[in-house]
Amino acid sequence: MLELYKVQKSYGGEKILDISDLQLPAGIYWLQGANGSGKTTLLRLLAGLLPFRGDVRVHNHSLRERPVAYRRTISWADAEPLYPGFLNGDDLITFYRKIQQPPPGQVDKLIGHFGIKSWLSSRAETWSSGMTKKLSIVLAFTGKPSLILLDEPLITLDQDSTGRLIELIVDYQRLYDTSFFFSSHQAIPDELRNKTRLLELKEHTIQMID
Amino acid sequence: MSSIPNKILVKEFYRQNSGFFLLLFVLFFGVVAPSQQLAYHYTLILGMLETPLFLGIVLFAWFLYGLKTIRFLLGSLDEPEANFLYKLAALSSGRLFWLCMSIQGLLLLPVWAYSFAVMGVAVYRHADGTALLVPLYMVVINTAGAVCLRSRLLFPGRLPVLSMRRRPRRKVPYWSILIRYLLKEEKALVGGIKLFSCAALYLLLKEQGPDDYDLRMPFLFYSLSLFGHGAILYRCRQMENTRLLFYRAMPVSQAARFGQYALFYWLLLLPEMLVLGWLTPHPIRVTDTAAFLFSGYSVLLLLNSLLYTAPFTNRVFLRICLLIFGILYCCVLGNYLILLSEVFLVTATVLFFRGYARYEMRA
Repeated sequence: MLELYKVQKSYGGEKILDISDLQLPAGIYWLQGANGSGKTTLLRLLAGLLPFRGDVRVHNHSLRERPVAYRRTISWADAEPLYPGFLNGDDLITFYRKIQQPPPGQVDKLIGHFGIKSWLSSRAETWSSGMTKKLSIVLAFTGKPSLILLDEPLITLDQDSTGRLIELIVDYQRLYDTSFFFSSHQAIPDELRNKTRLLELKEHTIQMID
Repeated sequence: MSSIPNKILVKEFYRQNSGFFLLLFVLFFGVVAPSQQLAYHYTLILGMLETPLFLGIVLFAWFLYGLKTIRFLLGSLDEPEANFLYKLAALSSGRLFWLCMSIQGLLLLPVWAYSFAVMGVAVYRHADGTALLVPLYMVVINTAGAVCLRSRLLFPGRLPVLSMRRRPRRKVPYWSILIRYLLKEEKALVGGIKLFSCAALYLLLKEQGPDDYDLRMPFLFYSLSLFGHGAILYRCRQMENTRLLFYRAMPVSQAARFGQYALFYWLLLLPEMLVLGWLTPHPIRVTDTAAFLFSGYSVLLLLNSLLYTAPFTNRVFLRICLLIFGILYCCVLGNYLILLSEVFLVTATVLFFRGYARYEMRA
């Protein structure tokens, strides 16, 4: 499902990633690694935010050759998302709806699931980091991506929202066969432990832990 | 006592509706030459006095505007950040009423101003009925708004039908986010540059005559303002790199992304277009207006694309802007402006399509 071919990424001559060839079948992946090991860089690279050497494919859509088709199959949420303070939640959802074209009713379900309806009409500048995080997750789940990339999905979320996110991950995998690629310093939640494969980013490359 | 409600309700109303007021201003004051403004509005008011149907239409428009202000006020009180305004309910009945009257009066200020003009002309023309009707009507609209606001403050939850301020927008195109960013967060920078640009164009071009027709000096000032636009573009890109990062991960083709920028810069040049349109065909010729606009537009697109070739520091980008400014002015002296604009436009397109995917923001 996710294939990486000779992926190399450097910053100012310093090598950050050097992954020769890697194929990951559909599933849930939990990427761990020390600070500065390149987890966020890898996720941003997979999201198409950064230039790099090599290629990445999801369901055989190459990021290099068919960038739009590739981006249609993935979705990404940042560890500490930022939005323009003058936009409100409705604006962002409308913006995503237009581009991601979710099935009817999906967005309302997601909004209800995280209980964010009451503040969607307020501007982003008034939100707490937890509220911003919840909206970023709702947006990442909007549409029918085959692979959802979540950078540190559990930080800033309260316990209730963490539980809801885990429910959603399980549901999406069951209903839509969606794959997930997380980066996190935290331990895998118990509910996902049996479904998740652990990866480690070490010495610029990805290693399977189990 | 009124400063906080004024800030949250009145200032916010004018801020949110700045586009609407700009359009009204252009419609009312931009369509005729400054020397004819008085005569134009005097004629309009005479039309109201002499044609009851016309007066009725105007009063209905004022009613709709009053309704808009009431909806805004009630909708604002529904916002979580305005919840503390319900504390105002603790004021004495009379004070609260007059506070609401003053808030509504400030929201109706443009209508009040025009209604005074109508009253003045009505008194002057001895149209006593209209002279009495207009202020009475305005007092009713003002009071109705104040009563609704007071009622909402005293009895939260009432009048839900009227509070429809923040319905979700049906469309939020990318260019509109960039425009809103400039209007909300870069007002001073954009306002200053636009004021300089439009004033320079108007003042230097209106004196052009057939015998001493020379556009070099106006173009020097115009290209200086284009140079200033570089700062706007740079700020926009910084905002995109931090707060609109998610857009890069979305399934949008490069052509569509370029199209969003093309529309954004077209709108950014709108004030200059209006000024130049006003001065065309006399004193400035149509071909020269086209050259001004085409060159300005192509420079903005080129600067936009250049910002996708590397993560420039503002100092380096300033130097690039200066270089383009120099090239532009040399081409004016050599009469190659259209040719240069075509080159800029093609370069902008090529650089964008080559640079967008390779662009890497500063870490």
